[in-house]
Amino acid sequence: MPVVAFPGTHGAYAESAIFQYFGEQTPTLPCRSLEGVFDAVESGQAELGMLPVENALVGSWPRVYELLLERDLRIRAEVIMPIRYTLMAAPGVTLADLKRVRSTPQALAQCEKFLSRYGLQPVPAFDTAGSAQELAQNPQPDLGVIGNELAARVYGLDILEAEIEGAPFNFTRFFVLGDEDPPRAQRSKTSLIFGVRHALHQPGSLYRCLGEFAERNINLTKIESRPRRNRPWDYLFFLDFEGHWQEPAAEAALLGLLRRASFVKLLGCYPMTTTPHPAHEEDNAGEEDVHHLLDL
Amino acid sequence: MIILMQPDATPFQVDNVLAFVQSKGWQTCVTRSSGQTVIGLQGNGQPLDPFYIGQMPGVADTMEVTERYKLASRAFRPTSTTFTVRGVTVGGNGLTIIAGPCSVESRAQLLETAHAVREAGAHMLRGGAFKPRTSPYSFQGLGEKGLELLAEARAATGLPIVTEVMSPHKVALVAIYADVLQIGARNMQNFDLLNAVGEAQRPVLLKRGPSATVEDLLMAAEYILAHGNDRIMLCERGIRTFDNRFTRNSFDVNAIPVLKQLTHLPVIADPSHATGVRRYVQPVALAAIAAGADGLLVEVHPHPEQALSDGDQSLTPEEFARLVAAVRQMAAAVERSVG
Repeated sequence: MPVVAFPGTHGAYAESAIFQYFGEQTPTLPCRSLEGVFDAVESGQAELGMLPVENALVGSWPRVYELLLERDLRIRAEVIMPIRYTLMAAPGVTLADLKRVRSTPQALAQCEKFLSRYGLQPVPAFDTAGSAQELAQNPQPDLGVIGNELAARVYGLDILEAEIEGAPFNFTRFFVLGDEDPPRAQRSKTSLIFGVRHALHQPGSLYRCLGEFAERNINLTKIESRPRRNRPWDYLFFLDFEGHWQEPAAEAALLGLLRRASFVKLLGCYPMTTTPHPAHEEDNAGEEDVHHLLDL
Repeated sequence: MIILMQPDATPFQVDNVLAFVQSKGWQTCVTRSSGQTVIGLQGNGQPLDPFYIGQMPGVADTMEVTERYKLASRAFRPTSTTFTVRGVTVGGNGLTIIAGPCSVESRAQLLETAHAVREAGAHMLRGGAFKPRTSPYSFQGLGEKGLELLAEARAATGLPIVTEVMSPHKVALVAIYADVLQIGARNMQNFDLLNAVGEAQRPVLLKRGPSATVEDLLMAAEYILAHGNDRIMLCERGIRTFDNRFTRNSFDVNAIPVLKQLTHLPVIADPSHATGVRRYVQPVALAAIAAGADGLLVEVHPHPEQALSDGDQSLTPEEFARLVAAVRQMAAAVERSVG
């Protein structure tokens, strides 16, 4: 079984994503940083890496995209994991004892309703699993932690309340990174980074780059701009589209993009993953038209 | 595993099943057959509990695929695969006839043959540029020059071209010219070549090795399918048995209905290599169509007595025209058509 590296300490959401995708028996390697995951895979300490790239509510992990630009690992798969927040505390502590709750700013913001209902003071921290580990090592009777159910299990904390997040559509998308490209799937997605030729100061450069995809009826699933570090007020574009670069239309679009862009880096082609519908029991006929992506 | 959805399953329900199995590391292959969605799982995901999946909303049934050739199996894809090559449909009710010389010898020979087989009703042109020969001293083919001539013949006749590729590093070169990449019988289990052709995403004509079982052939196709390339024709071309006194090989007519049952891929018959004798080509071709083959691969040479390879089994253009006429009658008898 391959060793899979992840950022954070045991019990992190990225580790849950590894267990969800590869199975509970998968050996994992915790890394101190996002860079650490790249280092582990490049040095052969781990075969694969699992990195969060985007949350459906709060957006991207910008550092991951910067690293995908700087380093040369390939995206082998995308994993979508529902994020469920669990309130945990030292053994014996009840909800009534709590005064403060520690977690990441994102988690605290998403559980705001719950916290205000019980009058709990949010305390921001760097990561969820790390907060749980700290609480387990140094139990405090008035402190709770919001994190992963896995973290509660790993550090022997009591679960006081499960699924305290306000939003049902809370998913995080992870990338599985490795050295090689996966075999082509029935439905693939491709991720790339490109820069437009701003030196020319021509209006419409980005429009024409994207037009290469639009003209060929290729669906873009994500586009994001990030500042370019070597030039102020210049940007890089991160783009995902449906399709595999070897499909004729995608190949032609990429060639077109290469001609127009200042550079293009292909991050990988990987099987496209479906996101579950949280309310699948409700048969909403009106919404079916919106979800015609299933018309296979 | 294969998951059969109920006929009235909603897109949401299908999505949720897809999301669940994908989250467990599986790749999915979705097909719709007579109104029912079938989800095939491929790759190396985690073990799944069929009872849990059977309980998911919209799921009718789950099946384990016990065959080793998963993607090639009918269970995985119940409807027969059809695809087009430059407008020529392969699979389905119509028969596909591929004809041409064993090897490309000269411009005149190829163009003459190409026009003649098109007149007679062939849908595609075959011709070898790189020839796998038993003896290293036999004619080895014209190489890239042969590919150029094939491309010229295509331009002149409009017939898509089928030509053999023998080594993985030549796949890119041959793919520039060819519409269908042929994997010869001797290379059926050249797994590097199968992977390279799978990755090239071109239609493939995969010939059964002379001592390969039907399952071996399906496993070879599985290599190509694993790259997401499902435009594959399987070709029965005769196998080696104890008796090669009067024919080159023994045509395994059994293999045709067996393959049609086991796999969704189209099955082509090659009566020329199967018999190795001109006068037996037509009877065996008719037997193959009667047995359910989706097409034929026939060697035709304008002057078989001058052919540099396989002259004994090549039909003249006139003989080929008679064969096509006979095939039309046989096709009508088994309710197939010849476009």
